[in-house]
Amino acid sequence: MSSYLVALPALARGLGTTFAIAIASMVLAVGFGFVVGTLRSILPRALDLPLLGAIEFLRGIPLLVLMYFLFFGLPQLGVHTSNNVAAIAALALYAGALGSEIVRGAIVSIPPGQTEAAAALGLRRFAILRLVVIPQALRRMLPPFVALFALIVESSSLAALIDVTDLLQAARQNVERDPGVALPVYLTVLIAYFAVNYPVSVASQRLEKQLA
Amino acid sequence: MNFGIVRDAVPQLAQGFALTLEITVFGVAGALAVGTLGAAMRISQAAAARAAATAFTEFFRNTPPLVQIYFLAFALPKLPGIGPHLVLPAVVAATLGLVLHQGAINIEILRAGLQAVPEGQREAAAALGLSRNDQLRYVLIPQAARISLPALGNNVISLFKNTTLVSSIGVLDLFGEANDIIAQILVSAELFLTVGVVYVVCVALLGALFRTLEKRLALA
Repeated sequence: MSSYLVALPALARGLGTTFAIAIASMVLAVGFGFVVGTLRSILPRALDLPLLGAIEFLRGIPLLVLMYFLFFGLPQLGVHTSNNVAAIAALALYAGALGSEIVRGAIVSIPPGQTEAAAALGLRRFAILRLVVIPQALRRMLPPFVALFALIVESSSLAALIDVTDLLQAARQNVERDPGVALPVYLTVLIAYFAVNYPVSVASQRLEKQLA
Repeated sequence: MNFGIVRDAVPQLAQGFALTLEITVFGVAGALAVGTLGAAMRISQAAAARAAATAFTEFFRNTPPLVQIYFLAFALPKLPGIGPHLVLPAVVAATLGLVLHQGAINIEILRAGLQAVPEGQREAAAALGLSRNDQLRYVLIPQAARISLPALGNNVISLFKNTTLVSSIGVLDLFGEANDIIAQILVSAELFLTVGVVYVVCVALLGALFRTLEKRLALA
């Protein structure tokens, strides 16, 4: 019991790292999602193909394989990454690919009459997108982006496998030192992830109902 | 880059890939069973069954599958009393972790599918004298399955990708075998790329399979 209490500060620091990694990845994923998603919604099909290929690749490759490639594979090709950077980059690419689908989906779901009306009013293409289409699309993007954050938090646990001292890694280190604490430590970790992700999931569902 | 390394590794990788497929098949079957049972509980008339199924869904889909696998492999055997009987082989603990997470998501998918079946269908089935179980079995579940198919397909793909997590507790799936080879020859970029492409191709094939299935099952 006492060695479980000793583990708590380390778990708390691990949770802090989990948050930091998740938030950094989320910010990058939203940026990446907006740029690629918007581009994909306006590019002609031929120019869109390479982007489509890249997005399908990022959605198809397991996150763990991507993370290991960035951390263990890239140095062999002369690009050195730290474990934190590799974890954030992998999460941002993976979530960014999903984010770009959220953005593209929301933009193409806006009725074409909106674009036509804006064009009839003399707005240029970029102005139509910026002033008419994207503001309406934002409302539809919000619930899936909130859900994406829960997915990022959950997926960030994979960073423990490349030695990032996040919540799971803090647990693994403590259990390695004293296998007797495995039950309370892993239970605490499960509850901590749940305590973060459950309110986020509920918020996403509420928003979806409200904005529908 | 030297892809000759990959050629030499093919037999070992093939062995790992076979285990990946095996885990996927058992995982998908288990997750479907959990999803069906849980969804039936979610719409049951017994409040306790509804509450239990809701708690299960919310807990297991809001916690990381990787942590669930670690819990099953390392924490469960420490349970006072029954723990020593719960020492699972790594591959079983890992598959079970995937079943819990993906099963919880299936419950939510199937519940939404069941509720999307028009109320008149259930009423008509009841008017024809079908028992509540038969209404589910012959009328509601077949229609809900069709409505849920795209989401269920995505969940199968997600489970397939998540099989890579089993390597973290020493199971030699495709990714585990790749890491095993890398630990010996210390060359990784080519192997990770190759393995990554194998997964991407499989995901594309699964995606095509589900799209075909949706078209086949679509009404008119």
